[in-house]
Amino acid sequence: MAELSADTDGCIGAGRCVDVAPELFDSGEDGLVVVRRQPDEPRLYAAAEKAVDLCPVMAIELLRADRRVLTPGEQTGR
Amino acid sequence: MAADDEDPRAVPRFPMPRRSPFDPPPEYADLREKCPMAYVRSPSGTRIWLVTRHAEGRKVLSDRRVSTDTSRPDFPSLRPVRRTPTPEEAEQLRKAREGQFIDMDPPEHDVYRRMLISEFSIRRINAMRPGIQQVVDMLIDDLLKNGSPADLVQAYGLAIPSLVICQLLGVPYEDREYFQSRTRQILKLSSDPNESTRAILDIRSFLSDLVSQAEREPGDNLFGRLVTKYVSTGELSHDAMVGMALLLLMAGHETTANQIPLGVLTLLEHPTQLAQLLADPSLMPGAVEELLRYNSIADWVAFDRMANEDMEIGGQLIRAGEGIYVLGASANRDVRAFERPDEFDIHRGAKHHLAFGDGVHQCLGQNLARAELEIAFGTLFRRIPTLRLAKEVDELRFKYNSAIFGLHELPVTW
Repeated sequence: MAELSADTDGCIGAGRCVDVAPELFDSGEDGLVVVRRQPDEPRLYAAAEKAVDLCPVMAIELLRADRRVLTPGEQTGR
Repeated sequence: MAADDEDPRAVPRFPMPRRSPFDPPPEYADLREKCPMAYVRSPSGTRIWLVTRHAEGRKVLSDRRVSTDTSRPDFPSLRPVRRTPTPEEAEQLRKAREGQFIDMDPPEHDVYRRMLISEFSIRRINAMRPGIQQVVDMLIDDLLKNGSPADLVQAYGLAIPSLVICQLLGVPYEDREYFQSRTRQILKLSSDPNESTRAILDIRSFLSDLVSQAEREPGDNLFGRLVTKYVSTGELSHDAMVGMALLLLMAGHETTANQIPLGVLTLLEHPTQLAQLLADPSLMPGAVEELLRYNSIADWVAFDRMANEDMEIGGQLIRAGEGIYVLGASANRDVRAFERPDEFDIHRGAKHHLAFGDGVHQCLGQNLARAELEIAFGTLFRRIPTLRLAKEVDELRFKYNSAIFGLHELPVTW
């Protein structure tokens, strides 16, 4: 299973993750990212990948089942 | 420098003006196909790299090895070479820079930005939506009362961000007319530089009074919260808070004020898509993303950087001290990132445009801008469904020479 985590020290509260994956992310009282749940369904995994790609400061980490970290741009080839 | 003549990457002049209302400067397409990095020489002879493609643009804006501190004397600028400022001028410049974190690098930048993150979070912006709707409805009431034809630049595009910023900062109702008139003056940069400098000083002193008022009696608004959390603890000075407020005002005003009328025009030019949008308001967020991408009104403004060390971008070695400017309007038309990039398509679903930049400086107010634009377009076409241009498109006056693209007027009728 994939593991999703977010780095609140790096987060700038742009909210791109909340926009593309509201089931997975929320913005807390302080405006910083909060992970709401793990992407335990394929459709959520796709949303998590989008969030990784759109995060302007690479504050979201998605560890794949093979333990390899997905990096921004990887799944879209950008 | 003679070699520049034969180098296909060398651009003789920059910036290049747009020549069509809906497209970036035509040279961009050619440069983008030739190379990911073109360059121009600054007046002092330093190379300024122009990033033409999307992937490289994102890389530069996210790279920690670049600086955005335009106050550095060695920052590669397009402006004529400046003489060394006198001690008094240097002191004035230092003061004017306080709180202007758009031109600061981490970690200094992060101190200021973090104070504002909660004020611009998706949560907070959603809470502001009813207030924005109220402002927009009031302006449409006035439009309908005054009757057609009307100029949407003055009566709508400029008025919305100005009044929304008043709400955000807690500008008292009776001061809003003054606030709007001064901000209008600032935006008339083409008219007379002395007048706009005067207007900036007026606004600065107006904001300084508001901050003092908040220091005496912190209310439940952005100023009040900043005073309570940071000024009273000594983390934020009075002058830096005024600088921050001025930055919010400048960054949030001209951009939105130009995007609204240009967006209205773009939608009117695509009547089939406009009809779809009116039939299904859930398409609005996607339409706004596409307008941001397609119109790219700010192009490279705020995307000027310099390399702090030697680095490689797009296969190109950039030397420490050279400039790197990301051409957002070019990146947003890059076929490597967007299919049929020159087509306007509200169904595109592409959110990775660079209209708000990328990296730690990505627009703080982006979600406020999205909310303002969604409400501005949605309400206008819903309440005035017969809205149409009062002139032909080729009779309209566009801001071909402004840093931020837009319209001088948008005469409409209904």
